[in-house]
Amino acid sequence: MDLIGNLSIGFAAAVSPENLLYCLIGCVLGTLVGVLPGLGPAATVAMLLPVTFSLDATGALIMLAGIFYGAQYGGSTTAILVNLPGETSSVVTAIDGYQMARQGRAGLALRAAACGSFFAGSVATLAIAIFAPVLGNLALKFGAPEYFSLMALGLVASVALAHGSLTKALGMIVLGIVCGLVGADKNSSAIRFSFGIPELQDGLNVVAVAMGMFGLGEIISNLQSGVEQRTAVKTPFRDLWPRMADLRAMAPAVGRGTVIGGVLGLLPGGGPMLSSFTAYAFEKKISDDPSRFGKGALEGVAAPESANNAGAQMSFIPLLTLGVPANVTMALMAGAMLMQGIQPGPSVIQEQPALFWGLVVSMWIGNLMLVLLNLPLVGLWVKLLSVRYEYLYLAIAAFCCVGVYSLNNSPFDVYVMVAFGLAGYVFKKLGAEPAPFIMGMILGPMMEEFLRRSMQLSRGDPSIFVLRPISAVLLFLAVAAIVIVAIPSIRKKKDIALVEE
Amino acid sequence: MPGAIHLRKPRDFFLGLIFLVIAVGLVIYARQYEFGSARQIGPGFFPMLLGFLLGGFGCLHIALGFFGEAEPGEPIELRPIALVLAGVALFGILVRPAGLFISTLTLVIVAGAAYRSRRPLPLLIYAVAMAAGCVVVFPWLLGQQIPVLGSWFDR
Repeated sequence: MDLIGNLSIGFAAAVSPENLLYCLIGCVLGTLVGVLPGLGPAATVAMLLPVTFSLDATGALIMLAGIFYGAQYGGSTTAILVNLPGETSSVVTAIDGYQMARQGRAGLALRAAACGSFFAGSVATLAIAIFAPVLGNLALKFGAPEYFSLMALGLVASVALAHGSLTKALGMIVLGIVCGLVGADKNSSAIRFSFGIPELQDGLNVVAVAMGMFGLGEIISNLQSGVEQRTAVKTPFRDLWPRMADLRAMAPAVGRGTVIGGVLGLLPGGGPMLSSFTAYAFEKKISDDPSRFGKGALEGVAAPESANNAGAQMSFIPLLTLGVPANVTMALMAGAMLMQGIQPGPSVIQEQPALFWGLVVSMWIGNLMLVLLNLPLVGLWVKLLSVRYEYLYLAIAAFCCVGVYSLNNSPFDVYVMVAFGLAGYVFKKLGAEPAPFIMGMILGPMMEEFLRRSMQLSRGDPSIFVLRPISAVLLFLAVAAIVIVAIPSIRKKKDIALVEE
Repeated sequence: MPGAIHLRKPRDFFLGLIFLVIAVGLVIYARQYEFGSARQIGPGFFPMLLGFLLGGFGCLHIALGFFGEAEPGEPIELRPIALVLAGVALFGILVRPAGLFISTLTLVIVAGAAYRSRRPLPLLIYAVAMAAGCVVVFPWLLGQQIPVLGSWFDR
């Protein structure tokens, strides 16, 4: 069968000693940074991106993928032991996980998270292997109008599903698109918004902007509000390997979480956070005794952890098959691929099978490494949390500086980071999130290009977007997403679901 | 004061104001580029479209600022903002002429002063350790092209 052949190409690429090493380094670094408070996967990937510059394309992507799910995983460890979710997708894990830890069942909670993640990761890897080529073939039939509509749907869905004000987020998208337009226009070679600054002619560097908004912006707001110093629940770190009885108890929740995460991760704008929130809400709903939730229910850890890992991996599919990043982390991965000279999209599978299948297989290997490594290393990760924020933020700032400088060996990128650090803080203070901004910045220029090509194709008739069936469906979904979210009753429900603690 | 208009949600109001100001700038700026036709969209079309969209969101939030329940304003401390950003900017200014070691040292000391109740000696020791650590990790271990000592030290 083709699948076996493809996977063996992947194994051949991923199991080479160097690539195994990169995968391991990625997982360890990702977990290390992911454990630290105030740094989510997006910031972690942005910060560690420069580390991968000297590698070849396959190695760099394998390492970045390792960093990504390492960061994802590190966040849940701290959520359980310290009630400090490393990133938004493990917020729900903290609810029951921390209660379990306080009841002396930290080991069980950590095992549930680890096994759930591994199972979900394995299923998601298999799903990618099966569906990516199919979707890739479909994507080859996409023309400019379909891509334009797909991106519009991606942008809208990413804010419709996120928390906070819809109109603020839409405004941030538009602002992000504007910043994405800075520099030379591909078609007319007009230089836009450069204000006579030569460095701006090449455009703003997305990684520098993202690090300013997520890295520096985060530091400034933490310094304002103060970061709580928390201490971990004392727990014996022996006895962390799963037992048969545990596996049986958590299996149904893990299965449900995997399915939910796998489906939601595919949606543009979906990914880990939405997956874990939905999985938690679902477990609570179908439980015989919902009152156990919040007091240390095993399902409350197993389901969202499986879901966020499945979601995290499935969000690779839109990037690898359509070339459209579904969330900010994937947008940064797209940036990394471009820096390595690879245009993300359907052609990657055909033209670079070793890279594509190597990446897929390495995801599974990485998940295995995380389980094998992190259960024994839990004690070490927890120790990291005792580093005081007054020292931690300086290390983060230094890493951001060196990282951004080394993107192009250009001090200008550092100034860009400063400017967007300030902007990110101000917008956050005004209740507007930076994530939609970055999405707009990355997708905006592509959308302009596809809009232009579509209009050339139709000789100036905008009805092409609704007359072509795939494009029409995508646009309809985008409009529906806005309308549904704008309906007051649903809006209220969404806010409760996402704010619920 | 019955009947008087109060600013109830300053966050909405100021966000709207920022959107609107940028939108106006955008529309004015976009006029210098060719707008093009529907068949051949010029470089000025998309910015103009975005300008009007952004302006719309701006006006909406300015208006929203005057309705609904009042929300309390939050105090803003300028010290951490200014010092962290100044530290990073200094890193950018110094990294080429002075090199990685001195620029990291400066960054850590300046940004470190943003933290209240900071004692100077531990910070200084930490800054030296941090700068040395960066030199070891980035140019030496990872082989990145960052000068350890910058052009000031060239002969």
